[in-house]
Amino acid sequence: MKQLCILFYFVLIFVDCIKQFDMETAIKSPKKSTSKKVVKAVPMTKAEMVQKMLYDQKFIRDAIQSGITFKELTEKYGYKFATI
Amino acid sequence: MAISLQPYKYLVSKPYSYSFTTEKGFEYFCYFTPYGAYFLEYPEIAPKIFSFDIQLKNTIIKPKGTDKRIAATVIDIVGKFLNSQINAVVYICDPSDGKANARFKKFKSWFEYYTHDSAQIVQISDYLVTDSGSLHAVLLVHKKNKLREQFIKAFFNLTDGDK
Repeated sequence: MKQLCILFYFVLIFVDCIKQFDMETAIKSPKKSTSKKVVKAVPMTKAEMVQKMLYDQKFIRDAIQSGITFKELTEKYGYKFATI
Repeated sequence: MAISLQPYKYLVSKPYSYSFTTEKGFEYFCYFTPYGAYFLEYPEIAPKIFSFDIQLKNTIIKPKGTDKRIAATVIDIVGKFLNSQINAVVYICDPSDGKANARFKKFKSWFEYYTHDSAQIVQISDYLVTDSGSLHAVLLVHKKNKLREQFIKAFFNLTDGDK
């Protein structure tokens, strides 16, 4: 019985050491981020910009012609408008 | 200004658009959209640049002839938008229906012939280069806008094309 108690005592010390080791490891080397790499947006060329301007202009015009409201264009399609 | 050139009364649907109806019953929408995304190289003025467009509400019958009060109304709307001396407006003539040239001439003339508020507006026109050719574009900015030179520089930078 005494031997069992001593063995149990050593097991407890061993488990405690492992816990301590894990904590230190966690502090010293934080988990690597699993998020995807951030890809920098490539700036548009001027020709691409003009294409996008025209695309957006046409999209808004067509949307209005088909009865889509400015509110919908803002909320569903992310376009912004301004008044004074 | 003659009474016949009085602007139409227009509705402001904040924060989206302006609308007015002509004597003949045609309804038009005018709207400004932020263009800052195209002028990122100019962070000081980018949030102050807007595009302008005017659009006839869908009708089967198309208007005929010239209604000078439409011009007066557009000048009033754009003039008030620029009177803050903060914003600038870029107008690109929609080429999708093949009437870009006519649209450009009309828009340009609106800000040349009238002597009211538009006299306070600097108008600069140039071409935008696209894969399929060039397009007319117009910059409008108030004469007293402190950032006027920067707006003009940014506009010419855009119209210069890729170099």
